[in-house]
Amino acid sequence: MHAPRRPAATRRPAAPAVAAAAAALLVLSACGSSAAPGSGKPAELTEFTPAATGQLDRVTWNLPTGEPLSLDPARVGDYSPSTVVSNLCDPLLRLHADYTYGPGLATAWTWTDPTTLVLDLREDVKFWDGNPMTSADAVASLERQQDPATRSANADALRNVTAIEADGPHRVTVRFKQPDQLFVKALTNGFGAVSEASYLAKAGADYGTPGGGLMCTGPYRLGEWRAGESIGITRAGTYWDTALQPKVKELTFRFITDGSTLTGALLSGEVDGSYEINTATARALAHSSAGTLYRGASAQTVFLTPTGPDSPLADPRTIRALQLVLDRDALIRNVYDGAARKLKTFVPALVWQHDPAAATYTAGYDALPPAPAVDLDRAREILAGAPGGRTDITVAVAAGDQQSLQTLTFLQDAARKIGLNVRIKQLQPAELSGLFYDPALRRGLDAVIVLGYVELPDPSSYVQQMTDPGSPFNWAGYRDDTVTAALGEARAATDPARAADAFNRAQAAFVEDLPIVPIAAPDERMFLNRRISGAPATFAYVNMPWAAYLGGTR
Amino acid sequence: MTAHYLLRRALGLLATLLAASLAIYGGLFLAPGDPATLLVGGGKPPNPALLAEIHRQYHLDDPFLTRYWHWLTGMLHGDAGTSLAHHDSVAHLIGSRIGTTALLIAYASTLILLVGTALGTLAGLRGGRTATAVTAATGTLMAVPTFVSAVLLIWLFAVRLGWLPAYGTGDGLADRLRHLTLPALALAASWLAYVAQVTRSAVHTEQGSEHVQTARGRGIPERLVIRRHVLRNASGPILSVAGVSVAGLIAGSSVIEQTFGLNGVGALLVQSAARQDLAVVQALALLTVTAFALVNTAVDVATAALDHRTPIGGARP
Repeated sequence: MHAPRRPAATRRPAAPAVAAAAAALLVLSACGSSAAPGSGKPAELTEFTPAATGQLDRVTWNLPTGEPLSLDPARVGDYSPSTVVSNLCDPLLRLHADYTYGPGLATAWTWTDPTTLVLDLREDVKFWDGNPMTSADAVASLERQQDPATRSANADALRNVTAIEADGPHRVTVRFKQPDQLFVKALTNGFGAVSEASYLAKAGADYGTPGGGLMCTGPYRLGEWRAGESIGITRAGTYWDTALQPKVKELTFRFITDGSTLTGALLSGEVDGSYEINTATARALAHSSAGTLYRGASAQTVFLTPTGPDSPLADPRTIRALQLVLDRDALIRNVYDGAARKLKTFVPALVWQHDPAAATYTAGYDALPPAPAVDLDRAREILAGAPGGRTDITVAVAAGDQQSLQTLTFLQDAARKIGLNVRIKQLQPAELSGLFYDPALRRGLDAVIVLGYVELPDPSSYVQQMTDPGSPFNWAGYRDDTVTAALGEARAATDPARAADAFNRAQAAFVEDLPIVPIAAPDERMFLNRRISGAPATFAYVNMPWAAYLGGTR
Repeated sequence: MTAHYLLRRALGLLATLLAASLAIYGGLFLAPGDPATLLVGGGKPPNPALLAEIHRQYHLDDPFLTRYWHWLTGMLHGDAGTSLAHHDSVAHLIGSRIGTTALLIAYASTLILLVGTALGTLAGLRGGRTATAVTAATGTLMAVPTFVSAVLLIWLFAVRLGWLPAYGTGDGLADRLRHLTLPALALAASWLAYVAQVTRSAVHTEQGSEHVQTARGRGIPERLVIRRHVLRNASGPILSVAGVSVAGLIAGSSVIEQTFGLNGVGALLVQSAARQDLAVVQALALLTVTAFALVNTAVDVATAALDHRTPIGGARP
């Protein structure tokens, strides 16, 4: 799910507290008293940084979650690999900075009947090696994801697919068991990326590794990948999208995971930019003359979810009590310096805000009861009605995820006031990512704090993973037939307004009793050196060719 | 005598390696967590077939002894295995990174031995204010944790002054040395201080010893007294401490490499341990044990060579 994105998976594994302390130190020394925490002004969100005006030879970019394990578009689905691959491998449909989507390698996508989708491909697209892209390549790229050996991260999007056929050189027909709109939306990420069929066959299991390389149609092609050191991408000779011609000749990705080192590298100009800037680094960069820190809308979300039906948090009353004691305004001010929003649910607004049916989604969201203000008496009252419950709650967090750890400290403090004892357990990456799949690893835990993101422009599929009785991420055994039916309807609906309406019905029901504590939706924070500009500032960058917008400022 | 001693050390090293490999393999085997889940992109809906496929490809479900035996026989045939995360042979992963680590450790060792002993000798010989200043300065250096000195060094030399790069490895020897200067300083700082203090105290002790007094009384030039009598006799403790510090650098390089974004085996060890990438951790741990043993043996041999009263390998009954 994009949800239980194993927060730790790619986060810095080593000496986290230590590094954060050091980062704080750097901040203090770097900007004296001007970086008082909590000085977060009302956020001004940027969609695109000012348009680039000049050509550049070279830009160095950082991937704060570390080196990608694979660049095979079928396998990517995490911050680092997505940030790189989105500039290399064009998908059939393209995600926009505002989370809407439109034509990509496919110019049209038409349902000829409720279970048949026809994709018309562009006829003027060439792979980097000069060979033309045809429907055979698109079919091969989609079909290989049905084979478990490909280890596709998005195999679920193929759940209802019965056949994928080339129908002429530039037309692909996909047949379904039942109507499925999610398939179309999944075409906007690595799942929908088109690789050259003959190259795929030749590279085999090495596709997307430093040795195996890639063969796609994007604005950049893969250059030298020096394992552990850097990944280089180079402007492709010709790019089919005449409106989006890259201005930077070469980009070098670095893998600095240590916050204080990244701060130093950005301040000294050794690294030109980075997405996913954390709070400590943002404080040090905020007043720097080296460049500009931008804030954009994001599809990331932080919430607390119970790990099993026996967890005290599986009881909606405990959830409601916790929501009433957690001062989320103070939390957002202190942990995120104001760069996060308070939500009524756990689905960030960016996901639906610009949907064709945005008005329907907005009406549904506005109709929800407001996010509760702090009310200790009411919280105690609610807990008193839940007799015999355990008062010890063990919450897992990724070791090294400083922001989540601070958030839990906030929660711990608040919960103590109503007699709940929150124990924080830091887990190593393999342990944390493992618990999302293996019940044995959830034993001894009551909840986990999740930093997730909604990757597809589709709120329903994200919610489905937490609410569907058959979903492997529905650990507390939540079951509400209204919700399940409505979300199923949303996934099948061709008409966006009907999908939005079905989602609203589900949402109105699950906010009542779904055992999840929504905490905050962090904004996207990115930094650009003053010599570069143009890149999108919203979270949509993960699946759009953001580097093609980048260029010089003079 | 020396050959016998070296043979004994080699056998001891082999036994240590075998025990260490079993302990490390067992430790990682028992550690909770499923490394396969880290390979599944982005925590999408978990496809059981996908996880099963990874488990099959990497023999993750085999019993402990089967896996250990598989690894051990591979190792004896010169095959250190394949990395789960990097999809690459362990030998290649380590081979491409060990140069950086070796250079970093050599750089830091040189700093420790040259600057540490020079400062210590100066303080020991001069005494008075010089000794106080050196003791105070080295005392401070010893107290500052490595990661803090790293941050301060980056802030001063990379951000403020812009003299040296903040991170990365660089290309070509000169550029690499430039890139490794801050990491080597951060890595060497506390050990350097330690060696300086031990040197100071050893030199100070020798200064007051009878044979030095006698030599001075016989009118031997001061230069010769210091070289032949003071420094030579003080070299025993200095060398042992220096040996320990170089061994300590091997362990300390992990933190420094990770902090400075260096592409060395230390950073690889940290990342692989977090991902439970068994084959890589195992190979690196054994490499570290071997390096430790070799450094210690070298120090023993050197100590014996410098002072004929010390029998190699310690006193025999």
